[in-house]
Amino acid sequence: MKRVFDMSVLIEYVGNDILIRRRLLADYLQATSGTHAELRAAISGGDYGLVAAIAHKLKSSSRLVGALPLADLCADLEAVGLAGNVAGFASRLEPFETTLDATRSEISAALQNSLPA
Amino acid sequence: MNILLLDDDPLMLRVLSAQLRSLGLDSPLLCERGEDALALLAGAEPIELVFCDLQMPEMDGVEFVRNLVKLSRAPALVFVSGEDERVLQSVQRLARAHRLDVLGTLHKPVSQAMLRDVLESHHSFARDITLTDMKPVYSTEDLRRGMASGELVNHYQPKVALETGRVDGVETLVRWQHPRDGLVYPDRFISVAEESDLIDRLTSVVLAGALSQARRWRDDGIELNVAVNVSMGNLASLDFPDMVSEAIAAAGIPATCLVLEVTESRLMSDVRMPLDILTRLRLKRVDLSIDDFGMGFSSLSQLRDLPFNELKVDRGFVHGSATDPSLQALVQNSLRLAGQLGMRTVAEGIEDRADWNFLAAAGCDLGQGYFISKPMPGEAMADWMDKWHSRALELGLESR
Repeated sequence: MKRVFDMSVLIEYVGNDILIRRRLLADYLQATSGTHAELRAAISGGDYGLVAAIAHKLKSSSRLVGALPLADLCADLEAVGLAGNVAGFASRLEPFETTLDATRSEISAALQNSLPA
Repeated sequence: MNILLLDDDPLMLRVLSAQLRSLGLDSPLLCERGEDALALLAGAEPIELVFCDLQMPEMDGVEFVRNLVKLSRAPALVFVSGEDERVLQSVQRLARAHRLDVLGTLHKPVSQAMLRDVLESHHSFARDITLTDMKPVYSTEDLRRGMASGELVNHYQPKVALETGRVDGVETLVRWQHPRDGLVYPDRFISVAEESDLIDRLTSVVLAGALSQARRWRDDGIELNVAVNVSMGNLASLDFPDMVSEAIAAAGIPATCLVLEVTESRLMSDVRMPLDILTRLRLKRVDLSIDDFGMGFSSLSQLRDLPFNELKVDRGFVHGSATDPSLQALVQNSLRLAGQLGMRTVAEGIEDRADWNFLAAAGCDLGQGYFISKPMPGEAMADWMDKWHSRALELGLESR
């Protein structure tokens, strides 16, 4: 299965300090805990600007922590949101949600296994 | 130094914050919204540097910069950009038109190396931060290879007469165009040369480059004095004055066009004062300049015994001197001392109009600093001089 999270990216940005990396990854998990619901609410409410904003914010965070496949999907979703392309959401939502879940699982595992508190 | 970070992503704010802390710049102010950032910038506490993401969906970057220029104290800016180059370009145009100091553009996420390079490129930060831990360590072999491959390049920073705006000369500043690390500044490799046997060769390369550039300018009708920094290692070599003479002869320019700059603190800390070497250089009609004056605690009697004919007031005393009485006293004392010894005076680190006005009124002869120009490659000098002429007129100086 394709890796959805690459720890070396975060090391490149903040160095080898385990505490900083732990804190950032925990923040990322917390920040993304409500993303499914927020995104679905924005789409069903027809607020495409909000869809773009959610995707924009998650895109930069994902690049930062090394969740690069999710960052690419966010960029795509942001473009669709900015264009107000309603039809575009349907085909993108499922892969987005699947990748987000997989990313969160890998980061949780990394926090438990390779980044001890 | 107060720094403000603006980004709609809290994680990005936290990372930038951690990166700045590792560079010795603590406790930045964090804002997720443009309006909060503007409120802080308009507050009582001066903010010198802003890192801003200008492509946040809920903020108009152009409008943000428009509001910034209305502030009485505009900070220096680093744009942290997204993908839309058009937005970035229009914001940069606007910033330039209003003389906002834009240190650079970074793409998110920002690596520590990129952040370090942007900060290092701004010389007023160089004295405030210690970047030692972040710097790659170059070996003597790296430097030897770089020199052999012609990777050392000279940049030139103009020195201008403060009374007339006339361009008098340039200081030569060596850079290393490193194949992996990009443009590397001398603080990251001069010590490698000084601690090895490479310093004479490095000075010789820089000197030859500067003199041949002066020759090319003369051929184009531009007569500029060129200053070159020399180290104590050079002045310990008995052959050094002859090496300088040969380089001058090879370039075919008068010796009086060359200024050799020696840092005051190094000169004063060396018990083996190279008085004979300095005297031989002066007898060859080369000008000698005492650099970073004010940091080495020279006394009048020490200076009187040395054959220097130019004194450069350290940048740390120059920028901000217009409003700081203690800096004013230091600058005025240095200028008075130089005047008593018949030395020409240069103020380094003139970063704004207020610095210029104060130093000109205090009787300093020449000025150098980012308000006038950043260092530039030699081939850019003629264009810059044309532009400077117009700007000097616009500033109310009689450039001639």
